[in-house]
Amino acid sequence: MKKILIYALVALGMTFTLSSCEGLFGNFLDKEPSNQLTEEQVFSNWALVEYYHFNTYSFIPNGFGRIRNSWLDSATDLGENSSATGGTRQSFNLGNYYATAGSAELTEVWDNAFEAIRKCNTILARIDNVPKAADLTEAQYEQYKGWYKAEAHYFRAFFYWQMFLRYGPVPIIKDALDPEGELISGYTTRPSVKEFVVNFIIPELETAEAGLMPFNSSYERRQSTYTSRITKPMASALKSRIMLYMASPRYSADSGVTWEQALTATNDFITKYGANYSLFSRGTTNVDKLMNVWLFTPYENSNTETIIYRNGGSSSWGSISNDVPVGDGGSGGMCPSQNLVDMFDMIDGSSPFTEYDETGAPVYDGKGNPTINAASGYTEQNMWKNRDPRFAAAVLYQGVQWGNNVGPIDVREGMKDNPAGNADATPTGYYLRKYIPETIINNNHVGSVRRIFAIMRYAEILLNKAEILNEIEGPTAEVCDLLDQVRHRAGITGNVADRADLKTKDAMRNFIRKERTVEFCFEEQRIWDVKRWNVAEEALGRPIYGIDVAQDGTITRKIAQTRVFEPKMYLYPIPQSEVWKTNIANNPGWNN
Amino acid sequence: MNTIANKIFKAVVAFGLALCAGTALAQTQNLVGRVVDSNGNPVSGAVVNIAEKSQIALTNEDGSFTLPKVKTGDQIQVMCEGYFSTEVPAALDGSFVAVLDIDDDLYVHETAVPFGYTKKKYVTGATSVVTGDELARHPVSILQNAFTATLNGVETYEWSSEPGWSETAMFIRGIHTINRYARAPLVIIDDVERDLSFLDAFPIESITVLKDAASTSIYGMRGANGVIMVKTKRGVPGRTNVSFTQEVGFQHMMDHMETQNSWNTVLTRNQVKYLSGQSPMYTDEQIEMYRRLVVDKEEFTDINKYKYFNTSWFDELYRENAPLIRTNLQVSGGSDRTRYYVSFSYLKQGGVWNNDSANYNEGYNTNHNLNRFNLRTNIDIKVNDFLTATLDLGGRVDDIRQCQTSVFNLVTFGAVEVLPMTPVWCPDGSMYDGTVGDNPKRLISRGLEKNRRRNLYTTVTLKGDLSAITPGLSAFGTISFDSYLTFQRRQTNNQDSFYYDYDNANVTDVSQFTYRRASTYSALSNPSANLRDYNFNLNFNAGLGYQRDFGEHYVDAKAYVRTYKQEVTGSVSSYRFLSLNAQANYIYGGKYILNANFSRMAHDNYAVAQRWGNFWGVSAGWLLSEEPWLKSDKLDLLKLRLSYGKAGQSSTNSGRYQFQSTYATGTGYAFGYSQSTISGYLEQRAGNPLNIWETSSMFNGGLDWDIDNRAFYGSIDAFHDLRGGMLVARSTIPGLIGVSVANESYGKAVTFGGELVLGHQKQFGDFGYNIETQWTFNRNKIVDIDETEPDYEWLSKAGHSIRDYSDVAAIYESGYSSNYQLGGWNVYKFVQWASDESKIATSQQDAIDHPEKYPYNTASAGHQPLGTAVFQDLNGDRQIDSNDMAPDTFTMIPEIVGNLNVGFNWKGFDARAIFTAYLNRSVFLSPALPFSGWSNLATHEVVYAWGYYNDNPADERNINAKYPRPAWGSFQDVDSNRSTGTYFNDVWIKSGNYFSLRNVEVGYSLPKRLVAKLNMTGVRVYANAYNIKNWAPQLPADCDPEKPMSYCWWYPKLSSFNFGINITF
Repeated sequence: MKKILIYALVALGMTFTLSSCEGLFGNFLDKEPSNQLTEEQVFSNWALVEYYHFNTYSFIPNGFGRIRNSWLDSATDLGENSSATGGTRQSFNLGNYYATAGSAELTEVWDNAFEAIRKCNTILARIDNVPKAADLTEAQYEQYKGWYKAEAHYFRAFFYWQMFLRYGPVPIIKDALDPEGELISGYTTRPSVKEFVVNFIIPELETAEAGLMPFNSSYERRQSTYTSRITKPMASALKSRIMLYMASPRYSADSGVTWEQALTATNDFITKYGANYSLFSRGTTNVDKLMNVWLFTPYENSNTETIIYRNGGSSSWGSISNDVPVGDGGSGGMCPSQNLVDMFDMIDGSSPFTEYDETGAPVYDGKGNPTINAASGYTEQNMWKNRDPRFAAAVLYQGVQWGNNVGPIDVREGMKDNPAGNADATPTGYYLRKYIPETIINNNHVGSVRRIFAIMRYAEILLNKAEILNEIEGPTAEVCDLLDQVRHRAGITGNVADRADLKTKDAMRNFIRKERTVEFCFEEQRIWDVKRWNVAEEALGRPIYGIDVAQDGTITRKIAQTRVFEPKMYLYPIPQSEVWKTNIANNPGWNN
Repeated sequence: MNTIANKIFKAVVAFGLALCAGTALAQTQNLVGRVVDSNGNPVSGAVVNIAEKSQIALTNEDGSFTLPKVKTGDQIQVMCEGYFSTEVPAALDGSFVAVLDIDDDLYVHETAVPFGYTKKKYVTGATSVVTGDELARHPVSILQNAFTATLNGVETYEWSSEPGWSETAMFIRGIHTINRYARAPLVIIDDVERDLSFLDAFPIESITVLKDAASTSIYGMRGANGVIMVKTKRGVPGRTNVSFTQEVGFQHMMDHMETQNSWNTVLTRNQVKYLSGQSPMYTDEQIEMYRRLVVDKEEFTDINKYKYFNTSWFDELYRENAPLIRTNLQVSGGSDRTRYYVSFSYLKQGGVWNNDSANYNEGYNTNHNLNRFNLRTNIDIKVNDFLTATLDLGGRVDDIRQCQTSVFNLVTFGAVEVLPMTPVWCPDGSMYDGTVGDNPKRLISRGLEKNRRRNLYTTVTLKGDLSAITPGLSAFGTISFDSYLTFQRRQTNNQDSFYYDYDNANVTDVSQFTYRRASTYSALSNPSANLRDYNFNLNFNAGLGYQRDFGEHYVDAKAYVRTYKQEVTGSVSSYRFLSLNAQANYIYGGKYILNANFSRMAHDNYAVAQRWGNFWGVSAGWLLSEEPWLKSDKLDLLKLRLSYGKAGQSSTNSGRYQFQSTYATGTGYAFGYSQSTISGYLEQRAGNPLNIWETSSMFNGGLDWDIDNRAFYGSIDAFHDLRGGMLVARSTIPGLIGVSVANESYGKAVTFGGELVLGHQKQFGDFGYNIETQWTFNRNKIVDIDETEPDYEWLSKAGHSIRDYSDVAAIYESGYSSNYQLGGWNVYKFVQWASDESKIATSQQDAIDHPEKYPYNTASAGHQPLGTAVFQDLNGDRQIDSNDMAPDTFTMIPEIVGNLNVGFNWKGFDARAIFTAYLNRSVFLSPALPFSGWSNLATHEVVYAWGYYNDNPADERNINAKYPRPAWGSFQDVDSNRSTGTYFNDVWIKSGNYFSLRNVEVGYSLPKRLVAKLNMTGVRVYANAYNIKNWAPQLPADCDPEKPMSYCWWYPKLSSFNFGINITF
């Protein structure tokens, strides 16, 4: 009995020791100051939250060589990447969407977009509770918070739209998901196009527009510290583009958006913000003027045309050499196709070929030759003469002098831009001029320029409106006028209204598509345009044409690459691991 | 002169007399007496002395002795090996008899258990024990290296042998987790978590390895990998014991491959050029000159003496032997009230670099040199009847001198990649430095680096006897503080060196050589000093103990709180642990043992709601040898043990505070006219509160026996461990969350195995011998790591053993701290060398369309040169790609380790040897081993490469080649490419099984009667050696089997030889 008592006492004593010590030493485990900030610390520090928000800007895609050195347009009929193993050439263009070379486009966009969206969701959920920084006035604090929230709405719409173009509607996540939580349950079904775009993205943009930084003299983008920030017109412009897409053949049935509604959105932009923007034209020659449209920045050079862009920072030889002709020491890179070259009109406004299809491209015969419109003065052996100045501003072709260091472009076999055994030499016979700052070439690859990647220019507003009006009213004078504004700025002399072949709605539609393609080549528009027009199978499935230039200068057309495009490729496959993890339905044709 | 000497002599004598005055003045006489054992038999060779006096007497054959200068009442101490010591008051009437109790039951000796001691026979966990005395017989400069041969169940891997920076990884019972940072065992020194690496053997009483989770669960979330538990020596009351050891030895470069001499090099280079379809590099005339130089050993006197060389850069860089000196002095003793133990050690370890090169600078030497001073004092004070205090102090100072050039650069660029055809000196006497590699003389004389490491260990313990409250109750508290600091001082300089065109055939006179400066002299710079490393640990432990015997029942229980705080370099906040612990041991009737322990432990690294874990273990023992129906004089021990426990592992290297999100600076964006970039900030990784500790749930069963006083003894253990909570990236977290998420404690792996010890020892009069063999085996299997299911079963990680898939760079070229890799690979399986051109497909499609042809490696794009490896096409798709890699290699850490320890003694002589076998082990030979593409140099192994003699595929030497066809600049990509990973094949990944003569010792102890005359208790001279010889059947000759590429990128592996004397008095 006594023993039991002792045991009991000892046991009791030990229990007491254990339980009291836990409280006694509880503080021991409480953290000392750490070099790692907690979520609470981050979101109670105004400066850090601002940095957190501005980091989202760096997610805006930069089009230059984005897909393992390939441009997105090298996955279209506008061109081909010269590197034999580079990005799209060995992936999308062959129909091999799972190739590693294409993963930057296929899976990284998915990951990056959701990463950016998580940041937006976090800002929206938390910024109201971030205490004011000492150096801010109460008014500034409220104003900045309003802007950041609106920007978060804008970016959320922007990145969901980026995903929509590629994957179709994806689960809409409006919260910063907690990894501990049930991640999958709420997000296994995919919304409809209407739910995703019309009911979510468009209202997001409207919310954003209401709260964004205004665009007037006090926030003048061109010379103020706010340059490159998201402003009201950007939300409006993006909305007008999305409405155009929704009214387009591929989406109108699902979205229920009419051409009239698209027109309203476009007019809305013009009414509210049109006065701030104009077609930019500065320079001495036509080519100069055009080069300046995409090389001049809104902030340094008051480029009034750029609406939305990715600010690329400083570009020096290292960041452009990938797309410079091999004769200039570059790696070739983005090489325009003959298909694109064929889409440029003559400088007098006439068409070099007699017939164009609904992709905007000339109709090719079985041997890959278009039917020449002799009246235009076009000949195959002088194909680059008297063309729309946008051609010379976008494409480097045989014999053209550019830069002042090395001789003219020479793609004859064995010559400087097509040396034997150089895997980077152009597969099409052309090199890229658009977006390449010539000053760096002229300056022996020394120096740097600021380079931006245009996402939306004012020219697009005009061409969008022309496209919409043609669908509503047919080829009216207003349609012709809108087209002429863009074409005359480019240096074309004739008027669209004078073109006898553009008197029907269908002919005008094809013409507008062609116009859009040449105006926005290499600006990541073509791939989405041909999809929304429902013509991607023709546009992206047809061979990429190029040319060989013989030693005597004779030009011979050739097929640079045969392309594969199946209907399922209208949408990318959702990354397989993601389907596996979330159990959401993959896109049609991609269930393997 | 004479008078001065006389005076000194007188002074010394006077001083001596004064010292002895106390004794001299008292009434003393000779004590004559006998020493007998408890059976009345005389005990011979017992040491007899008066307490606290150094003078001793030895008993003779009939147990009698005569001890002079004894007075009545003196306490006479008697001690003899094999008996318990005793103390008896002197009786000068001739009746003095001291009775010694025989100490013949080894199993009643106390042995260390966590936070206490217990009798050996009551141990219920799986343990291995080694004494510090045994470890001292291994002349190693890093203690752990002796563990594989002495502690069954422990495996070691020596990552670095560099003096002062040597590092050895330890694994207990193999590999339990895929997380390579979560594999290290816990080291506990005197019940405090401490660093073992640099402890020396002398102050160690014993090292106990706790192998099963039931034993280690008391260490909570620190114990899952097993525990190395060290106890240091403490003083015992009685006469002062002094032990002095002096050892002198050397370390010898062992198993060291070298590049070919210049004649063989030019021949090899020409052949490789031929195999690469290129024209020869050397003319027949040049080759002949090299032949005369190398084979005929001709000494050229004309201009050729400046043109043809056969430089052994290895000789320029290395010396064969480096000195190793060790001194130790231990003093211990004390009284009932105060006991003390002091150990002081000095170690000097030299570097293996050629001293001619290391002395190139006047005034200072740049060879590696380690001076290490180790001091330890352990003091026990009995303050009063209720309170005892102990104060333990330890300190270590390391002074490391080395050259400024890293070992990697010295070895790689100063020897392995320098051409033997180049000279050491230019014709004008200046230093030559060529374009391939570097002159090691310059590398090693470029600057000086000194590191001083200062470590301090302190522990204070108080123990209170609370028997007044209830008998057997006590309280205790311990505080310890350890600090580790390393200061670095670097100084740089450079030498003049020149290149000249020694191979210019047109030169006919010395004056025609053209010189080009390679480097310019600069004097030694001022030292730049910096604090390289600073850590400190603070431990606290306090609680209550209860220990009591109730007849048949014996209870020993403890409850205590422990805290552990560690501050490390570069970390702003310390690592903190808090645990609440309870242990209980219950023994009934001296034969049924029940042991339970529990630890509730928390770590500040985890979220508040998650940070407490419960760890527990229970074990039971049944001493069958104590059962009446089995009890016998012949059966000294028969014990059955069973245990089950759960222990944790919180050191997973996953970083701080994984439960919370990590934020970091990210990409910014430029705004404004001036384009000022505004920084970006982002959530780098979302927190995961389920990122916690790993757990081991281990079952262990064992049997220990000893028949007829160790005539046949041994033990056998088997275990099964389920490791849970291995950190893995969850495959279920989708990308749409928008952030990467910290790993989660989710994975599972199983390890099973066991240990076996068999021993026999016998003594026939003067001659005795012992033989013991120890075996350990363990095997693991991943159960679940949440992987996406691969296309082929053999590619899945679950279901296969734990592998690191390490490349050559990760296991041989990177430093230890960033490493801890095991190897273990999926490999392409070699079939044969491509030997028939008609069977070689010209394209991938060709190979697919015509299955009758070889399956070809995709890396070859179809075509494959003769003499490259043809691999097995596991999935039958006609192409060799990563789907054809089979998971059938082992890791560098063997599954099976066996030791054989044989020894004998005869009169004063003793000798022993330990052999070790390392089995079920794989190693990675780099393609650089036979032929290195970096400088196109070969070792002698190149003769086993395909095509070395000719490129005839039918040649026996080619059919049986060990290595593929070399190519200029590298091997062919299809079978040897490092960057594409095609070298993960069984041409390069080989069985690393080996046998080693680990340790040999011979010694002679002077007869006691002789040393007793000098008032000493023992004098022993000995010679011992460590890592003497290795045999690895599957590996190239001369390469170190533990680390086959160590000749190339690392400090060479060493064997140690040592001569010593130990004096005790």
